[in-house]
Formats: sequence, structure tokens, C-alpha cells
Amino acid sequence: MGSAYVKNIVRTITRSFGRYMAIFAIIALGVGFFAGITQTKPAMIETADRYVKEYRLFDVRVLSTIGFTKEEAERAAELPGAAAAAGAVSRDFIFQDEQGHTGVLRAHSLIGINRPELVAGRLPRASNEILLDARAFPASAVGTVIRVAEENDGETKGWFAHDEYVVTGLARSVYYLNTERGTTTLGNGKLTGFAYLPEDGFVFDHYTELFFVMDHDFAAYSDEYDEAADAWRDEAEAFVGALVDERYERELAGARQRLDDARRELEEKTAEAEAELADAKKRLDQALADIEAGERQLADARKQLAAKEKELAGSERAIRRQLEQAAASGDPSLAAPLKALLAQVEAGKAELAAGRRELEARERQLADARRQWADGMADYEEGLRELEREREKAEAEIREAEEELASFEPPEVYVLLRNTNTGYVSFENDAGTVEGIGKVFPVFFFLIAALVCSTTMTRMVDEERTQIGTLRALGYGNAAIMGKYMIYAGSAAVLGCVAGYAIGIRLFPATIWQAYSILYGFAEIAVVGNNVLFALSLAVSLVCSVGTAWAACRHELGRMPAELIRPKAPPAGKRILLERIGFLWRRLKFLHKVSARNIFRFKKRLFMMILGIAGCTALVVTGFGLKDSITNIVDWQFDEIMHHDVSVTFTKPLTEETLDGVLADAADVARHAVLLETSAEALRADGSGGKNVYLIASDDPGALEPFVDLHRDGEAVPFPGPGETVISEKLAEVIGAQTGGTVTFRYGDEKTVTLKVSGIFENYVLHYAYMTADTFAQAFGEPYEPKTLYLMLEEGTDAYALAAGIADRGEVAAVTIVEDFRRSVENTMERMNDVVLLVIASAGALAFIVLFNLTNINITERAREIATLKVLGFYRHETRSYVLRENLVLSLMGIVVGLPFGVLLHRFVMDQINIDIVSFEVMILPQSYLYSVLTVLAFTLVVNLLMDGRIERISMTESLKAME
Amino acid sequence: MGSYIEFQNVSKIYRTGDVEVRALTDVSFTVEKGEICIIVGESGAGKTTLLNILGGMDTLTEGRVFLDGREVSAFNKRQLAAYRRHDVGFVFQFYNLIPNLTALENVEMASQLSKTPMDSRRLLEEVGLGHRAGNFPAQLSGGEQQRVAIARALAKNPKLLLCDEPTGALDYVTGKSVLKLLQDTSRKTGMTVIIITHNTALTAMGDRVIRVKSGRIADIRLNERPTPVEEIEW
Repeated sequence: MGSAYVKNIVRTITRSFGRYMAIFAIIALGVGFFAGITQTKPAMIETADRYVKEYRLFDVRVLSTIGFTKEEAERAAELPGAAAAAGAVSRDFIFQDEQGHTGVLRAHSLIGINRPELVAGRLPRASNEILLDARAFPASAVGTVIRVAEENDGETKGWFAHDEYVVTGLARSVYYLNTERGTTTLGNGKLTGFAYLPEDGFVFDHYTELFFVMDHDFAAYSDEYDEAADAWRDEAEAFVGALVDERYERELAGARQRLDDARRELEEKTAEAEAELADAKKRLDQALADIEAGERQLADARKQLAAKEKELAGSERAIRRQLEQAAASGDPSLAAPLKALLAQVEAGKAELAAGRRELEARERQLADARRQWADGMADYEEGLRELEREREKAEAEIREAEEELASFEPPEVYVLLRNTNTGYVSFENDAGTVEGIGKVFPVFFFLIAALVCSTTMTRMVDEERTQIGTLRALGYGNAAIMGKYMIYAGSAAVLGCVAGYAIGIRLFPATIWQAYSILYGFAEIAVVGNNVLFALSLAVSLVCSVGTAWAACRHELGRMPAELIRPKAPPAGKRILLERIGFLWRRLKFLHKVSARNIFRFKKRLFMMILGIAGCTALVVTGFGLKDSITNIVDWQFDEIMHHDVSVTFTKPLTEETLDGVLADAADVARHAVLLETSAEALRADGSGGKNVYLIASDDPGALEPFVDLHRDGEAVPFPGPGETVISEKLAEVIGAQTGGTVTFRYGDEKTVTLKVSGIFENYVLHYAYMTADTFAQAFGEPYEPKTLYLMLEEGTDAYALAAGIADRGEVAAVTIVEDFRRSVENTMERMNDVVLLVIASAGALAFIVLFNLTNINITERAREIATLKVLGFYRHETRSYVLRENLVLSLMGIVVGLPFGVLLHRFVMDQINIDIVSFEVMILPQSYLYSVLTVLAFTLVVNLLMDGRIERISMTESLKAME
Repeated sequence: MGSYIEFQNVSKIYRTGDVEVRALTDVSFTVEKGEICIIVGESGAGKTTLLNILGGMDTLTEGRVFLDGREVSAFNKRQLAAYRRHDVGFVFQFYNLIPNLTALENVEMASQLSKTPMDSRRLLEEVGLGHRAGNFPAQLSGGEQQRVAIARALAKNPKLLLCDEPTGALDYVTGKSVLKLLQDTSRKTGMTVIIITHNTALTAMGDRVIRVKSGRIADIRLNERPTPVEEIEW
């Protein structure tokens, strides 16, 4: 072998460039598709991984019932294994923009964790600056002002340092990977978006949560990460729990201490007061005694005075009598002593008068004293009463405080991992939807690639048989001759493989990423290679190309050179089976007989065509089937099976009064039902891990009935009796349960409960099991304490507003609006749809290429024959029918083979599609079969149309030339 | 004129880029009805091109061609197909039978197309292959295949039989018998037969001999008394 050999190969390539390109292209397509689809999930995961690492998505999030202090936030960094920790504040508020539009924002404090990605403007620095959600606000919002709306209640307003915040920029947030923002208790219940403020934009006592970024290098979503995360959760719970407990204990002790002090103080003060009052009483008593003594004295004195006055009056009278007598007697000497006595008496009277005045004065004094005493007593009594009152008040307060203290529950700490973050979780689910498809379709493509390579190389070897014969005659060995074709095909395949791989791992992930960009689009999709994948692709490519070249050659090289040099005899005519069916054969038109024979004459073409068409049919059937299985799910589930509009979960078992309270508030509730909703795992018969099931128990099945339509195959499934349960169809299928049999649940961590299955009902979203309250209580050993309320609302009610109103109540743990859920499921379905369509379209295109290729080759092989017909005078349409009739028949044959294939393929693909929340009904509607047939026939017709030109162009003069 | 076949200043030029290949240059001749016309020339002289144009398989660049008063060179594709269907029978060097059909069916293939066909079975018998009616071409020898081809060509009852090197792939004896068949057919049925060959010995059997050289008519000669084929030796 020398330069001539190499030149030969190179010239062969350049001369038959179209053929070379055909191999290159088909391999490139096959590998591109295989690599592309396979690498889509890794690429998406890698993209997410980089993003969450760059923007430091939290690994652990901790909440507590009593918040977190600054000290605790600082000490949190000491958690073993933590790379960083931060306390954060988050608060919902109603905002108003400059145009007057309102909505609800969830404000977060800016920390080094869950960092926002700036899309426009800059990060906020001052306390009155704010960063907004780029999905919710246009670029023009930067520079405008956001108000904390008036409608916010006082408590909410109190959280914010300012009334107005200036928008400094827009951002994406790794904490909100997809478009889900969540719900809120404010406003109309829907969150417009998120916002970031510097910490001093808030006014707060305690942080609302702690975030941790752990020191690790695990890839997001990987098994190692999940394992590590479980350990982190336990550690964080213990660590933070200890911190919080410590604070709680401290504060509790402090409170108790203060309470004790208060009580002591009370006692002291009371004693003091009592002592004082006692003194006062003593004094008052003393005063009274004095007064009474005085009064007694006074009475005595008065008596004495009265007596003296009487005496004096008597004396006066006596003296005056004597004086009269004396005067009468005319004894002047008598008068003088009597006048002297009278004078004494007068003096005495004057004394007495003075005395009387004294006594009166004294009386007044005593009266005053008494009044004072009375006042004093009144005060004293008032004092006593007041003491009593105050004491009672103080005691009451202390009692209240004691009760409150007693009612304090120890704080709870909740540790949440990434798997509670909606965006993060949805992403993994979405990335995985393509995975299942990736397992099946590439096999098809490689098969088709092998087919095309095979036919192409066979044709090539056929054409060059004379050349090969000549080379053999010249003495070239088999290896050299084969080598040319193997190098030809091999080089095309290797180039195709490399090109396909390089393009595929970029194009497919990027395309699918584009399809998801509505939901995500947070970064450029990463390009993830996979060496094993490449090696595998290369191996298969070489088998397809070199292998088929070798096979084609081997056949020819087995012949003698002379034989090769002679022109190849066209395949001999043979009678076909159909001919033996006399009456049928006779009925056929002449040209149809020809076609029938032709179909079976080219065995290879027959086989490949049927295979190709069957494959294409199978793919199309699968495509339609996927659509059938997917699109109706949502409608069935939410229109025909589940009828509640809102589901409310309470923190404590629902009481009459709470229920009445809720219903009184919510005016537009048409119906309601109280039930217990909890979850368990349904196990397979062998006890192996099962599916997550929602257990619904009710003590009033009648009330529940309008909310859940239990039916199967058009027949109603009755509510289960005691010891029985009805379970959803898909669940029964997965765990192998049947009506009349049993189902086992694992409840909590250890309890296993077995119930009889009294019925199975249709259900498409999540898994459910219904039972009576009694059954639940008995079987699960827990009291029936319903905490869930289903609500059916009047037409046209705004579920969000109603939900927001209910959510405000203290006893409400969560409110779920079914419409939200429905929409998110629909979204997922739509994404699936898009991806499936993309794949089917590509598959169809590829199958089309097969058809085209095979037909093309076939026509080329029969150019002479076709030219002869033209010479014979066949009109254009006759010539066309002659060739293309076979195509049509072969297509039909392929379709017949392909339809059952399609059913199987569809089932397989359905198995592969793993969307957590939805169970698909594996079904293909009758009309889908029709559509599939029509679609494949359409492909055939298009190919025929294209071939028409080809047939037309067969030149009689060229084709019928003698073999030169 | 009243000639059956007439070529008037016919030229066929192939143009590829700047290169011009003149297959025929200013060819003019006539053939009368019922004649056996032999067209001779070396390989590449342009004989086949001439035949192709006459047979409606190819178009000319200049000039006009008439058959029985109709201007063949002015036909559109559809008319040409009709022309080939009804008016022309072709016999090729390599037979070009439909491999998937039996001998009889091959002939029937042609008779189907005609409005006034001949009976296929009878034709086969006439060419001496009545007993091979049910055989596929692969089961027939070269000569037998050629005879089937001739039967096929005749089945349409054409106005004209065009034969392009009919004995090119056959041995001496077989070739001779095929040529005899052609001659006899012409004599018996009055069919106009045109045979292309590079074997100058055969010119003796024709009524008219047209010599083609380098795309031009070199010579046209009439034979007063054509020689029966069995008497020609080469």
C-alpha cells in the first residue's frame, strides 16, 4: 500500500462527497442526539450547582418559636462544620409603587447567604434602599420609590424602619430558583415577589431565622449531599436547640426570679402599710379616749358649774331677800354687809359666767377634736380599704404572671434543608423529565444510523464491484481492499461522532434549557462532557460504519474476481407466495402484480423499510400516547375527582367554635368538611419501601362526599366501612394491592398498620387512602383529631382573598389554594409536552431520512428498469406509480408492525417518566392510532413527492447506455 | 416531403460550462416506410444519439425531425411519451427486460400500453419462445432475452422499430438469428426497421445504409437488392 492507495481513498471521498456526508451526518445526528439527551440532566444539574455555590444557597435553615437573638446568631457560626452562619429577618408587607399599584412583597435582610444576583442597578446600601425581584418588576422600576402601604397593620409597619424605600436595583435570587414566589397572609394572598433590604432597613427584636452554609464540596442534588444534609440537620437541631433552650431557661429563671422578688416586695410593702395603719389606729383610739375623757370632765364641770350657779342664785336670792328685809327694817347697818355679800355674789356670778364661757370654749374644742377624730377614722378606713384593693390587684397581677409563666412552652426549633425550598426541588424534578426519554430514543437513532450506513456502504461496494474485481485480479489482498471501505466509512463516522458529540452536548441541553427558561433561566447552561459516553458513542459509531462496511465487503470479496468484474445480475425474478393464492392473484391488475413481486424481490430493502417505518410509527404512536396520557390528567383530577377549592390546616384539633369562627369570617363558603389528613408510607407485600400516601379520615363521610368523587371505570366506589380503606388506583398498582386484599402502611417510624382494601378509585395526582374516623383511631392507635378543613367556595369567589383572611387567624397553620397546585402541575405537564414534542419531531425527521435514503437508493438501483419503462412509453404518472406504489405498500406493512411496537414503547417511556406528584394513566386514545397512521403516511407521501422529481430526472439515454 | 422519416439539419450539442460537445452536426436524411435502414459508424460517432432523438428519448438542439408527417422534435414531454408508447418500439443491446416479469409478462407489459396491440402469446411463439413464456429473464439465455425484447417491441404494433446494436452482446449464430428475425418481420409486416451497428458487414442486409462519422452524415446509400441475413458472413 502506498500513496496511490491513499490517493484512491481521498479521491473516493471527494468524488462521492454526498455519500460521505450522508454517513457523517447520520452518525453525527445519532451521536448528537444520544449525547445531548443523556447530558441534559447533568448539564442542568451542573448549572444549578454552580449557581447555588456562587450565590451561597443555604444548606440549613433554622426557625424557632422564639426567634433568635444577635448573640445566638453570632454563636451559631460555631456549629461544627459550618462555613458561615447568619441571622436573617424576613417579613411580608403590602407595597405600593409610584403608579399606585399594590402587591405583597416578601422582604429579606441582605446577608452573605442566599445572595441575590444583580440584574440591574446596584445593591442597596443605605437603610432606606431596597432591591426588587427582577421577575416582578421592569427595569424602569430602578430609581423609583416603594412605599410600605397604609393598609399594612401596625405590627407590620413596625418592622420597617422607613415608610418609603428607594429601589436601587433588580435581582434574581438563588432562594427563588423558579417562578414560584409563594403565598402570604397579607393582601390578596399572593406574593408579587421578593425584596432585599439591608439589615438596618428593618426594626426588629429577634431574627426570624438562621441560615447556615456548611463547609463542603458536594454537588447539589447528589447522594452525598443528601446524606450529609441529614447529619447537618440533626447537628443543627441539637446545637441551635441548645442555644435557644439556654436563652429560654435563662429568661424563664429571670422571670421567675422577678416574680419572686415582686411577691416579696408585695409582702414587705403590705406589712409596712399594715404597721402604719395600725399605728394610726392606735393614735386615733388614744385621741378618742382623750376626747371622751374630756367630754366626761366637761360634763362634770358643767354639773359643778350648774350646781354652783344654783347655789349662787340661791344665795343671791337669799341675800336679796335679806336686803329687802333690811331695807324694810330700816337698819342701815344691815345693808352694808349684805351689799358686801351681794358684791361677792356678783363677783361669784361673774366667775361663774367666766367659768361657763370657759366650759363652752372647751366644748367647742372637744367638738372640734371629735370632728378631727371622725375625719381621722374615715381616713384610716379609707386607708384600710385602699390597702386591700392594692393588695388584691398586686396579687392578681402576680397570679396572672405566674399563670403566664406556667403556660410558656419550651421553645421549638425547626431545621429545614434545601429540600423544603420549592425552586430548588422543582429544578431537580424538571431536569429529570428528559432523563427517561433519553434512555429509549437514542437506541432508535443508532439503529437507524446503522441502517443507513449499511445501505450506503452496500450500495457503494455494489457500484464498485468491478473495481474491486479488478484490484483482486491485480493481486491486492482482501485487507487492502476492505481497508479502503472501512477507512472511508470509519473516517466519516469518527468525524461525525466527534462533531455530533461536541454539538450535541451543547445544543440539546441549551435547547431544553431554553424551553425551561420561562421557569428558570438563571444562568447560561453549563456544558458537561462525559468521557464514558463519548467512548461508547465512538464504539457504536465505528460498529455502525466500519462494521457494515466490513460486512458489505466480505460478501463481495468472497466471490471470484471474474465474477466481480462482470456486471451484477439484477436480482432474479421469483414467484411470490401471493401468486399461489390463485383467485387473489388473478384479480390484481397487471401493474399491481409487478409491484407485489417487486416488494418481495428486494429483500434487504423490504426488511429495512418495514423496520424503519415500524420504528417511525412506534415513535409517533408513543408521541401521541404521551400526549393522551398527560394532558387530561389535570382536568380529570381537579374537575372530576377532587372538588375542594381551599384546604386549611390548623395547629390544634378543630373545635366547634374555631370552625364557626372561620366560617363566619369566610362568607363565600358553599360547603365545608372537617377531616384528618396525615401521611404514611404504603408498603409493598414484601415490606419493601413504598409510596407516600395521604391518609384522609372522616367521621362524616356524607359531608366529605361532595369533595371527593371516588369512582373507577365509571362506577362509584363506596366509602369504606370499619377496618377498611379505599386507595388510589396507581398506588394499588405500584404496591400490588387489590380490592378484597389488604394494604399495609408504615406510620411514623415504627408503626405498621394493615387494613382491608374495600375499593380502589381513580386518582392521578399524589396518592390517597380514605377511611372512617373510627377505623383510623382503632388501627393507628391515635385519637381522631381532625385538623384539616376542606372548603368549597361559591362561584367567582376570590380564593386568595378568602385564604388570606383565614390565614390570619392564630389557629391556622397553613392554607392551600388548590388552584395554585393545579397550575403548577399544569406547568410541569406543559414543559413535558414541549420536550416530548421536540424529541418526537427529531425522531420523525430522522425516520424521514431513512425513508428518503432507502427510496433513493432503491430508485438508483432500478434506474435502468425505470428508464426502460419510460422508453416503453409509460406516462409520468404511470412511472411514478410503478415505483412509489411499493413505497406505500411497504409503509402500510411497516405501520402494521409498528403499531403494537408503539404501544409497548409508549408503556416503556411512561415507566421512565418519573414525576413525583403525578401518576399517569397509560393510555392511547383510539383516534391517536388513526393520527399516527396518517402521520406516517404523510411522511411517506412527502418522500414520494420528493422522489417524483428524482424519477422524472432519470434520463433514458444515460441509464440505458451500454456498460462501458 | 412525403418521406416517412425525415431529419432536417439536426444538431445535438452538449454544453458543460464553456465546453461544447457536438454529438450531431447538421444531420439530414430520410427513410421510407417499410425500409430496413442500417446506421453504421464507429464508437462515439453519434449513431445512438441519432436513434435516441428519433425515438423521442432525447431532444435536439437544432433542426427538425418528422415521422409520418408529424414533427417529433416539437413534442412536449407528454407527447413524447405518447409517441414512444404508440409509435415506437425499441430494442436495446442489453435487452433491458423487466427482471421481475416472465417473458410473457414482459411482452404483455408493452401490449397493455397500446391501443392496437398484438397478441402477446402469439408474438412470443413467432419469435420462437412460446415454450418459454413462463420463464423469468434470468432463466433465459442472451439470445432468448433479446427475442423477448423484440417481441415486446413488436407487441405495441408500432410504426417504427429502433434497434441499438441488437446483436452486440450475442454470439455470431445467435446474433444472426436475431437479425433474421428483424429482417423477416420487416418484410412480412412492412414495418420500418432502423438498426444501429458498428459492424460494416451488416450493411448488406439493409435497404438503406447511412454512414455516420464524427456526428455528421458521411454517406447515404441505397441497396437495390438487400442480402438475406443468412447469406452474410462475417
